[in-house]
Amino acid sequence: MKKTDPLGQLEQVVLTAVLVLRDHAYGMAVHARVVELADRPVKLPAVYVTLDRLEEKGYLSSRLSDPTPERGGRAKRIYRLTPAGDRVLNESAATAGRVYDAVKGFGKWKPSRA
Amino acid sequence: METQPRLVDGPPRSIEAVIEFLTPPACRVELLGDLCEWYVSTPQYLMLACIHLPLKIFKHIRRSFNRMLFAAEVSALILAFGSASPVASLLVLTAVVLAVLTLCDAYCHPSEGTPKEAAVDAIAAAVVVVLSQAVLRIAAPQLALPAAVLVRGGAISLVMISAFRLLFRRTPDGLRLPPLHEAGTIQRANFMWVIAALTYLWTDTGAMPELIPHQDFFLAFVPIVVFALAFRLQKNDVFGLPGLKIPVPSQPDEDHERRELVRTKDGLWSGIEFVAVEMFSFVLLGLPLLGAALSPNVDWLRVEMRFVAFLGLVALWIYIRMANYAAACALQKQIDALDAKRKK
Repeated sequence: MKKTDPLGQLEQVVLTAVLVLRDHAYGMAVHARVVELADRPVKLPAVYVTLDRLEEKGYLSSRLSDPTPERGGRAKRIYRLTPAGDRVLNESAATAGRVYDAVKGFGKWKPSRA
Repeated sequence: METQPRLVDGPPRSIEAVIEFLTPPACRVELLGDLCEWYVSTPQYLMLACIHLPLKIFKHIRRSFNRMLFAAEVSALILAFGSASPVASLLVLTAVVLAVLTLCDAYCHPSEGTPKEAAVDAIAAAVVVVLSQAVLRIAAPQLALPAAVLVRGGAISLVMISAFRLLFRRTPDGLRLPPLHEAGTIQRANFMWVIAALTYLWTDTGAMPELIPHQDFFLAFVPIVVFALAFRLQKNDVFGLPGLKIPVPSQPDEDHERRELVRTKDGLWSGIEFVAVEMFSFVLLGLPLLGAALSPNVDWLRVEMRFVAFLGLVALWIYIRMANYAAACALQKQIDALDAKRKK
């Protein structure tokens, strides 16, 4: 039974990056972590659009941090998971886990990266 | 993980000032901060700004877009310019005005919109219309509106668009009904709707079917009577008219506060007695549309425009009815609370 809207692949990765980065989850850092997690180049605007979309869906909330000198004295927008975002990421990860197990159990298939 | 800053030197102040000016205020700090942090060279800074600025503007357009307000603005423009314009020039003008107003919304978002902002937006749209018409007169004169139509339509649309933007601008919590203390706002909304409906009728009286002899003469008076009745109802000055149910205060010596609440509630369009007026108004408003559709030489574009304007008026009316009803309920609660307090 479907409990929430399913996440797209990039949405999954972005939510994971925000979860991992905790208090440092702002645009640029999220992008760097997304590239690391996806293991492929991801364009910066795509990450920003996804962050906006996830915020609109209610899976992320954001606040402005204190100003920093490297940003010309301007604040960063820090993202964090909402309870709904936490739930949907868990569901998504559980689905991915089940898919992985099913595929792994299929004899001929060998994962390239475990 | 804290990303190491790549800053070698800050971006040039002048370029940064231009980007700052072009960025919607709600995301100015965030975008300028990000651009500053990504800065490596001026061309790269400009390239990033060109990628990210439209994204930010589009984000705010999407978030600030209000279907109700958009429909109201389209209706206002059709009402103001529709009857006397060639269709192509009307489409050009409507597109220009809506583009300007949509951008204004994006740059104001998430502000609720003050009366000053509403007026400034409408004036900005008017200035752009005048400029675009000046360009059209040189580049494509067949698409330019006649000066008389432009002046008359400009005056009507300026007032109507200002009022609609004040009433229906989106708030951070979405479209909301005016709060109780803004009962005056609801009454102004009623008033504006009546003006819009009358304008709709007046702009197309020629298209009405000839149902009775000297119909034009009589129809010219009907809107005035409806307008006068609506105005009198708003002023709560119809106690003497037979057949109208006006709540009478239950206690003759009730205090001033209760009397004021009852008076304000009676001034709203929320009672069953308004259904007849409502039905009559919509029949009357449907006549130009019917006339346009049944005329021997049907101009379907004109019929469609009348239909859009009619739909806009209906949508606005639904909102206004809801606002009146919500305010009346809230006032009734206050009256009940006062009564309960007095009983204790």
